[in-house]
Amino acid sequence: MVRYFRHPMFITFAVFLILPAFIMKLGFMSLAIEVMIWVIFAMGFNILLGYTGLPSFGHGLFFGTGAYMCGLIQQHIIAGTWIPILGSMLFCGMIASIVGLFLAKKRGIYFALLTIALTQMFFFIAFQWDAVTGGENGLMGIERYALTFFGLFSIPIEGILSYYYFVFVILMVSLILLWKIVHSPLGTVLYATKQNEVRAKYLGYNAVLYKWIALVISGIFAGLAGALYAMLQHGAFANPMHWTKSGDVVMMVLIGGGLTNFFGPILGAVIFIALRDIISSITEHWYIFYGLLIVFVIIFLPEGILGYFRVGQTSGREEVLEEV
Amino acid sequence: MAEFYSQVFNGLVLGLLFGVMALGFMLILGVMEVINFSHGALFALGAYFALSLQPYLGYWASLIIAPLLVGVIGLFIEWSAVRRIYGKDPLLGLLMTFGMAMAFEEIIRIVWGKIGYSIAAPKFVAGPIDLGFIFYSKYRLFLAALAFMLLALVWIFLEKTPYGAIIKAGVSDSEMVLALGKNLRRIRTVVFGLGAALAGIAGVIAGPMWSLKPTMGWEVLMPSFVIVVIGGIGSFWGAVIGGLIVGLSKSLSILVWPRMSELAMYFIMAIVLVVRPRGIMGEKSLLEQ
Amino acid sequence: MKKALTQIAFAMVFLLTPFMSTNLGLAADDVVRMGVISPASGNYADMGAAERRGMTMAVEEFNARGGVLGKKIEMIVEDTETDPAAAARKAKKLIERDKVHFMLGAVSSSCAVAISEVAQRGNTVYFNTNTNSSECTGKHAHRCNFRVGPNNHMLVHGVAPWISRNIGKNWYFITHDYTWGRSGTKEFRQILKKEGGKDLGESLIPLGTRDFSSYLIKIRNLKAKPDIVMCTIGGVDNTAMMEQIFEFGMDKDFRFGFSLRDYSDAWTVGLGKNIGTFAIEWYHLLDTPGTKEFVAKYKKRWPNAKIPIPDNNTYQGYIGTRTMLRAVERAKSLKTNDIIRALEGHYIYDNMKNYPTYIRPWDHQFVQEVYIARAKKAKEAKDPTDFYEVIGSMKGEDIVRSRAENPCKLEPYK
Repeated sequence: MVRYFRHPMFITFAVFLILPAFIMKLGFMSLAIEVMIWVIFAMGFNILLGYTGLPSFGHGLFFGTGAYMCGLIQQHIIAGTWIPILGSMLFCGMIASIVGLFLAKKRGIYFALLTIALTQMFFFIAFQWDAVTGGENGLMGIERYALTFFGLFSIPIEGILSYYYFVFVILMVSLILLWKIVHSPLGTVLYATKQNEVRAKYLGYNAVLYKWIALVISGIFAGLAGALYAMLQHGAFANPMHWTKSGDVVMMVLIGGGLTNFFGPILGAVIFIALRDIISSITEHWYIFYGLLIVFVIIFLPEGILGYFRVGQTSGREEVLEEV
Repeated sequence: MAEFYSQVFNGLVLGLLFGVMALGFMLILGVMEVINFSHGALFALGAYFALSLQPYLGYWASLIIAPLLVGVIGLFIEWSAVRRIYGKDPLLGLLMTFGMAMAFEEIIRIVWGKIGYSIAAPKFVAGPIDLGFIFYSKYRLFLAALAFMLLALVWIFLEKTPYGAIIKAGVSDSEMVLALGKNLRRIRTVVFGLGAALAGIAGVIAGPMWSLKPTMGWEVLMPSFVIVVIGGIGSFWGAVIGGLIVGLSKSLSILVWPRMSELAMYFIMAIVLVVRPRGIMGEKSLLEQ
Repeated sequence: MKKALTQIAFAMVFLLTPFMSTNLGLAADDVVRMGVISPASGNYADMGAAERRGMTMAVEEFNARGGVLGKKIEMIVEDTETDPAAAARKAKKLIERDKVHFMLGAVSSSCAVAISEVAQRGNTVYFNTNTNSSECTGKHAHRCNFRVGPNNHMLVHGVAPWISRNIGKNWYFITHDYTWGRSGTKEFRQILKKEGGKDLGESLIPLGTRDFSSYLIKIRNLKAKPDIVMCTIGGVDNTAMMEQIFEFGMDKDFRFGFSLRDYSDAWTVGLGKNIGTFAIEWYHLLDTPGTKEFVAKYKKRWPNAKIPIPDNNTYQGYIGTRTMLRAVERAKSLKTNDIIRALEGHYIYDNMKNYPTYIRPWDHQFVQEVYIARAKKAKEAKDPTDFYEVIGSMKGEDIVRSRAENPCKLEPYK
């Protein structure tokens, strides 16, 4: 029984459950919600990066698209919360499936290059198509409508505390879902594909199909995160789709140790966001510290913090570090 | 008609400049399998070094020294940081060079300030020139000539010298190069320095045209990516032809649908990916296995 | 045991890291907190630095006299990164965590729009400085938001009639293809029509182009030569365009008009390559009351600044901050509604211009005089900072939108 309490999943649940008690008075609620949203994004993204080994530097495009779709559905189809969120997830899944047709056949550097070009295309379209997206101003006026349950009762989520717990519930559901995926046969095949795609093929698995699936899953979660973020900020913007911003989620996964640990992205998201805030508040030259921080982490902590401390690694997962 | 010729000229000039950038980028990508996000920052550094050197050394000396300085910086980054991630997840190289790009950009802001600067074109090529059928800029013709010479020099180096042959081999198959007993480590350092120097000199020659700002590097980075995909990794001519295609696509689409001129290169890239995924002149390389 | 310890450490890291960022919200009550949200990186970093210099000067003036309402003023600065998404996030941080009493800054209009939404929802007074998009006091106007500088409409109506009467009525347009650019050209066109001029066409330039050569070539080859080319080009690319105008020798045969010139753009290209006729908000060599003293104070305070004189960005930062602090004094309160009420309808007399500035209550626009200037050639400059010749001016009331033209609605007081 005690074992369950020590399981990271429970710790995560407990920590985020009681966090508001500590931080509400201090005004950190928006930050905490932002952390939870990035955790959803990063955990979904890690299915692609950590478990399937595909280095996407363009997932900002799903995040941004999810944010825009949430706003657009709210403003043009139905004002509410469930439908815009589900609609965003569906739409992003669709985009991911189309884009995946191109991408799933590639891997490694080439894959990364393509994802960058793709996200830049989307950024550009979002920026230029201002009739729809609001252009450089962004899509404003996204609201947090009350949650309705089949017209029987509704729960308002405009208040920061209620929105926090709404996101919290979605977070826990997502984590459990992802845990199940990773520990399912699907997850095992994905991991096999990461280790050696050719071998997986020889074992009879259609590697391309599985890579495609990983893309779609990560795209859906990214879209979900984007929609939640749009409702947090009351607006959707084009900049998260810029390839320079797409690197944020990669950093989170890396710092935390997502490449070797399921819970890495959670830690990574917390640390990344905290650091980002701290550094930019201290100095106007934060850019250089941020850049050097990234370099140092890559050099000295390529497996992330959890990887460094070899925390909770499930058996049989070694980093394959080839040296040429 | 005059407008059409002018746009073609412009496209070619731009294309040659992009080609120089893309060539450096492609060499690094091919030999080390590292996507060098700091390529744009090195471009900017080249321009800023020239800005500081020109009052003391004059145009021609700065044209040679500024890129050399950038090349040295390239050697330094390779030696201190980049070489630690060879063979590892490609994302590590991406992120690392991205972090370096951010750091360089802020260093430029700290050293030279946040404001923009203007570099004058050397007097003998300043101003417009009447070519009869079009009015054009002397400096751009000069730039085209310089870029052309640079590309020719690099081509001679790659094709006609033994060291160049090793580099070419490294782009195709670095493991083999190691197996043949060549000092792969040193080759990689040299290639990174060469790539950086190419970016630097592109910055020096672009400076008078576009004026300087600390963020000037990001705008030339994306075209380098697209060119490498269009032209194919591992081919000198791929980078050059890809560069010309991208340059022309930007300038010619202005005649047809100006709004889309930025997107034009992406469309071409998408078409190339479908029809010839390896790139127009791409060779099978380690990147695809 | 080790595992348990590491897992507890894991949890502690969770709880503690978010708290490590600034101002543990134990916000002291004996300090007035002023939020500054201004670019320190990205394309407008230099203008951000300039406006912050002005803000700092104003804050120091007040603090030297004991602050405001008996409390010292503390500036809390955040970087917009010239990105509306980041700006919105940081504005939220300033309001929720740092608990600032009011905010100023922006430079980029799109950042200002995002920030003003956050400010309205967070019920915090926000001064939008150094932006020009008319929407900020139009479509995106909010009760908590005030705009310190003249908007695009004012600038265009300041300079365009002068141009049509003194330079010519046949205009060609170069437009930066995004919201701000297109709205600027639209307003130019409206005036052209009113003045009875001829519209010779337009070139739409995609955002992010550093290369205007193709468009300049097109203009050179136009059959009907325009009297003037009216440009609505966003800040960063202005400098590239001016370089290229000289590169292709267009300066000799063509004249160029702009809705606005930011001094830092002029500074970047230098005296030799400045060109055009444009509207400006303020100039350090104006012969208006208070200007000389302000310039002297600036030089003393910032002897090492990259730009040795206060430019229009510094002016707005200074005036904006001073106005905000004086409003707090008048209202004798730090409450948002009190400050807003103290601002609406207020006149600023010592604004270093010929006519006082009026803060319009129904759209919160600072209605002020706007000057018309042309770029001086190198030999005409009296000193290395003398870039402009001021050739005219327009009173604020004459160039600002009427209620009919600007049907904006401010939210009720909270």
